[in-house]
Amino acid sequence: MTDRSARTAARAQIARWRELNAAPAAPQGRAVLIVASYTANPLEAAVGVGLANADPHTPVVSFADYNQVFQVCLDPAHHGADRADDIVVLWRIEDVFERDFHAWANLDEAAFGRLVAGAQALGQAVAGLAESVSGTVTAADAPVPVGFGLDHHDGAAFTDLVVLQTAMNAAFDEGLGAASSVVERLRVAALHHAHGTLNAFDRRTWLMYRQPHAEAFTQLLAAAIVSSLTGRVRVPPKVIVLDADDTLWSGIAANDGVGNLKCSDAFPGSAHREFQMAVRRLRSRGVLLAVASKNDQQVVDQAFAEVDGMVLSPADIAGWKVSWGPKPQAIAELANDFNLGIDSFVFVDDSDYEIGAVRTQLAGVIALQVPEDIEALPDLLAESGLFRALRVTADDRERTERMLAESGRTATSTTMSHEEFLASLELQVTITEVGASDLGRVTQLINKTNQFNLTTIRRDQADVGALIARDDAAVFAVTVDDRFGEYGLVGVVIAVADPAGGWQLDTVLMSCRVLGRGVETAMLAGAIAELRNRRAGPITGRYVATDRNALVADLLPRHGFTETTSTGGDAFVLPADRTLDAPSHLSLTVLRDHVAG
Amino acid sequence: MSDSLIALFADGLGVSADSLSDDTSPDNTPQWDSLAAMTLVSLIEDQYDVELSTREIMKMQTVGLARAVLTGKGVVGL
Repeated sequence: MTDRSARTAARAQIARWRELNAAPAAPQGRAVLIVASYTANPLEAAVGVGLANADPHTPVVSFADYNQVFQVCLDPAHHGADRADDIVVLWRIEDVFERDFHAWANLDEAAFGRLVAGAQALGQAVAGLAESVSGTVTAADAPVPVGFGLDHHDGAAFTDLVVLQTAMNAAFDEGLGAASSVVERLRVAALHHAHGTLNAFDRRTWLMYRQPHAEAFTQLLAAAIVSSLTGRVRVPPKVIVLDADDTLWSGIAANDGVGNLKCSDAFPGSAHREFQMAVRRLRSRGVLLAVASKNDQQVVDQAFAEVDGMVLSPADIAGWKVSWGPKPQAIAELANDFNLGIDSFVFVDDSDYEIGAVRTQLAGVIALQVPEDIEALPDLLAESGLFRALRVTADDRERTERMLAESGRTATSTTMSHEEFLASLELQVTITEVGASDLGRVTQLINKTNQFNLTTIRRDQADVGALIARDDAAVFAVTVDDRFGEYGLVGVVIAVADPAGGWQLDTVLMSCRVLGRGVETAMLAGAIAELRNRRAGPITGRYVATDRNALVADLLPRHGFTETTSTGGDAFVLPADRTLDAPSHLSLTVLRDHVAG
Repeated sequence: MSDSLIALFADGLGVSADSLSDDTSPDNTPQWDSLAAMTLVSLIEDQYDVELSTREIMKMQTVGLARAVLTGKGVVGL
């Protein structure tokens, strides 16, 4: 799919998604929470419509806050993950482990170990999530890092990236440990490689919206998510019934003679030979094979023995229906012989007539026709997607066993507590009085922060400049730094002296990028301590509700403020004798001089 | 309204065309968030068969400014 056609598909999905959600009864289907380390919202309509097509009920598709993967895993209730029926975790190395990734790219030798340990911790966190929530958990692996001017055409550099990615994904699996049997795996890395790492990347939406996927890749990813979520209830077929002439080999035995049947390296025999390889792999994974051919048994036996290049041997075939009777009847007999339901059967044949006969007489059987363009035959079963769940499960089991053997230890889920995780972040929160050089960035944050914003008072640069100049007002900027990276300027607190004593909080806002780390508490604690250094007294604040800021409705009460009716509305006060402590897991610095950012 | 650009924005923002004008901007339209902006860009590119640079996208701070950018790129009949 090109990005252009993907965009057309995406728009049709958005329209359909709106329609579904506008229906009176909608939505009442499953609640799907997507937890991603990047902006993943373009998946909403594609995943929603995909699920609605598989289930008559319209699902609810929601997204956890940007790059909060660890946080959601360690504190699912706080992020609503405990209420989701299905949770999908999507992560990228360059988002979750931003700082160490760039250190690694700058040849910091210790960074590789930190990244691998980090990926293992993430796997443990996802395992903990799977244990603590009632919904299903589907976890992606990480695609190879893109962007930042990384050169994927530099073979050596790209290989280094793949080595890092492979080590981190293996460590993530190891971190999942025992939970890997309940966590469904989503192989995003493979999807990304197959699509082309550069084709999958849209640098424009990445740089503008932190949304890294090109539209065609978004479509592929959405389809994989839908298939994973619906695949849980779909059982892979157990039997493949194969026609022989022009299916297993090229040619018709009765007309052309066994000596002229083709299944070798020369086209078109090569296509039939590769198809047999695909069938043979499924047989190795436990799928039963049967042959239903309108022939004499002796001719088919001879073909299996003599045709050059045959991959399948008679020993691979569990059931033979070689006769001149109707194929639906042959399949019904096989179902009886194997004691399996008809809906466990896939039938492959080149003939319109046979495919039609089976489809009309045995509705439960999935009938796949040999493509007209025979080069597509080897991919027939793969493209049907019917056996994917089977393959993934088998792979997972094998991989888990191998990894357990290699590591020589039992997989245990030694999940960190939320507190331990927060402590491991090495968070540094710095509060600075805003100087002239920060004005632009502070003004921008004041005007674009919608969710974590107590009063949503917008100001232009001149207004902010005027506030800074006032002796009876204070404008603080908050910067945050942790083990994973620098977040830069993420918060603003503005206070004005209250004529009655103490201070009034005019503005308290924070970027959602640093949610879930206790930064808001440190920000308030630091600002309040600094305000009280200048002027003692109570601190008052108010919450002004908008469509977007429900997130901070309880911010002040949560921090020891009590509701006050003296001024009406949602006003709160922190009495003069009450202080506020910063969380112990982070280090808070209040810089008293103007410091240019 | 027969204005094709207004109709496009109505579609992209999921609002009625009557509520839109050349002064419509992210500041007065809560639906115009960064996700809607992504959708709008792809709608505009497909409908008018143009490619927008990030510079041009950044200029499109109102419907009217989007109209000006597109007119500047030779799109007619807006």
